[in-house]
Amino acid sequence: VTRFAKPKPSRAGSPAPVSRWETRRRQGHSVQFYEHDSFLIEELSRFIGRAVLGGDVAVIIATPEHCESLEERLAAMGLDLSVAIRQGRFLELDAAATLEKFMVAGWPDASLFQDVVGSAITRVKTAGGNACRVAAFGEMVALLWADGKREAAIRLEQLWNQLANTHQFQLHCAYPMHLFSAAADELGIQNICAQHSHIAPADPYANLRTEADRLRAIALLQQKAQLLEREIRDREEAQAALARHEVERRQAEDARRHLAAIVESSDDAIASKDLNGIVTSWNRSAERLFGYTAEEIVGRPILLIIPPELHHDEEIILTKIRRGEKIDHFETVRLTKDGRRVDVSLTISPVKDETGRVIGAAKIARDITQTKKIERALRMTEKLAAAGKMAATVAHEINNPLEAVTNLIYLAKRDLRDNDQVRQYLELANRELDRVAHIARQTLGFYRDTTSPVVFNVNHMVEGLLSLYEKKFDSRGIRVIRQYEADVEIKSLAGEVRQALSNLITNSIDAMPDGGSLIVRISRVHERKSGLPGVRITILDTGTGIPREHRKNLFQPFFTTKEDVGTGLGLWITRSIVEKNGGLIQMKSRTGEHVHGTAFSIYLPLDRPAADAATTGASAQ
Amino acid sequence: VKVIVVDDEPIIADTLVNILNGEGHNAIAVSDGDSAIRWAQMLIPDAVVTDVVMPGMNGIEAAKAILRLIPRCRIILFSGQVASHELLARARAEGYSFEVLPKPINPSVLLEKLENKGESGSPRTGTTG
Repeated sequence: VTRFAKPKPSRAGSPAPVSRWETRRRQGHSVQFYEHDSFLIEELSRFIGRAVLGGDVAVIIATPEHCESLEERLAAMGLDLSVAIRQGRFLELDAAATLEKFMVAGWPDASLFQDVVGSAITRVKTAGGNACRVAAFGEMVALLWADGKREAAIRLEQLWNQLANTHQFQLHCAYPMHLFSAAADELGIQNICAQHSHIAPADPYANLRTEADRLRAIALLQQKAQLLEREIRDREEAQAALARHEVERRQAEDARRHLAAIVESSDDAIASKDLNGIVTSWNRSAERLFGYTAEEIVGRPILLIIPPELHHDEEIILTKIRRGEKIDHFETVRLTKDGRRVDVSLTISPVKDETGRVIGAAKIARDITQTKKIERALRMTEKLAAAGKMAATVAHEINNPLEAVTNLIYLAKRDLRDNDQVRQYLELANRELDRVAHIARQTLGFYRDTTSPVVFNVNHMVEGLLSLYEKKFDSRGIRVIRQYEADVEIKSLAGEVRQALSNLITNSIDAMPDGGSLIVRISRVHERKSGLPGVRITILDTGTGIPREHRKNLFQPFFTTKEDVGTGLGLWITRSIVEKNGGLIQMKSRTGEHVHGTAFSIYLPLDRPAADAATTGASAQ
Repeated sequence: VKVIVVDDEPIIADTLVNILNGEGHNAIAVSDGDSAIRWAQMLIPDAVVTDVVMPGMNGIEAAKAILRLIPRCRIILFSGQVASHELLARARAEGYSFEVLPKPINPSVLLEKLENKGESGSPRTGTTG
């Protein structure tokens, strides 16, 4: 530093002048910002000390603490204030008490200020004589500022400036820096500075010894200011981002609440579970359907609602879910808390996290108990309708032999004496009654409700059915061609299989009102997919054929083209019987002018699989 | 009374003829509608007793044809099944009113019907064509 020119004492010439309180002038209004009281007291004591020692007068309007510190400091400098006080050249006023004298409703009153402060200055000036200068210090403005009354503080600064028009004094104000730590205070400082002829920065700057230090300090301050500005900008951006995030978060939360409300109010039971089968959520309908409250079941295994014999289903379901596959309308049975079984249709979808990893499953269960009941009722309806049809057929088959027997008995009675003749009549009657008995047996077999599978001969069953419809074939002119490639015994629900075959045979008869051929084929086969041994029964007619547009609805309930006689349930029942017994049904039809007819082919396994395996296998595909 | 009995089951037709002849009527048995018409042309019967549902021409068609030939001929239909209602309804729409006796018929009822001339069994509307 010494290699450079000595710092110039001239204030005007220096870009970074030393800031010391001016005492030479008669008139002036300066402001001192300060961080430490000690700095303020140092400056103040020098200013006042010089004034008092120089024969001038002083007015101090300060806090009691500052007054006391000032007195102590002056005493330490060897200045005895008592003389000056006695002469009236040194006046100390309590800032807060003085303020109170001219504040009206939180606002400095101009004339009261003039009275209170103006008279004080006049008083000391009078005591010191006309030639003396007045050194004044005031911090009432700082008190107002600290009190949040900033406009009042500026107003008070203006009143001081006005007072300078009528009184001569060199005034110093002081504000502690900590009053200006908010961003908005920049304007406040500017307003304060505008009221002053000289501004002195706070101690960290004022204490710097050399001009170079001060210049460096200014450069550092500029850098800090820039840094701060940058930080403020960053913070504003961060705040904006935070606000945006908050909006998004609230939107997401709204969406979540919305979805939760939908889930909660759904009529279907909706639950979720993790990949270990532990329940993670449970809606109100699930509570209603299964009887467990959410509190009871969340955190516990879903197996609670799965009947013990179906526990292996859960493993199959979880395996599919882990692979990310969905399970659609899987009809099964679930267990309620009180042990009831409910028929449900399950739709289970994998739940994935944002990376696409499967973390659980959401499942929707629809109570189909009612639907199942209706289905059972429909099956019963079809059974009854079939029974009705059968009754009509049987009536004809039975009434004819009865007519013959009635006539034969009449003749036997008439020719009672002719024993040989009577014997002949009775033998004929006996034969006719055998026919009735045969038909009765066939008919009864139809309705025997078998609930457990039995071993029976397929060929015998088909033969029995054909004999039942023999008259119908004759009256329609239908030729029956039997192509039995094997004699097959299977284990299945005989009554149901008979019903299915009967449905197909009567359909064929209905398809040939003007005669034709009915081909019945029985062969041993292995099912193509599973390779299981079984029997294939094909019922082929040379009827009109099924129009293409009807084919896809063929197996739907209530689909019928025979409005007068059909319930529309026959083929639906037939397929469900076949599938229930582990079999398959296929249809081929042609409606050409020369080649026409329909073939239904039923595959049945030799041994009917267990009931649950059959249904699970079919619907879980 | 000259009677033709028509039934696709020979045992029914034969026993009825036996019964009717035993009561002094002059009856013959045929087993289908076409034969019934042919025999009616030759014999000009007073009455025809016929089954309704038969292979080939049914009893009602045969009865209509016979009435066209012999309007005064009495027709007695008998049937073992419900399906004959439809055939009857169709005939009624064409202006024929037939009564059908359900099988089995007590032979004495049939005999009574045959002897009560002019009651049931004859066409109620004109079929002179």
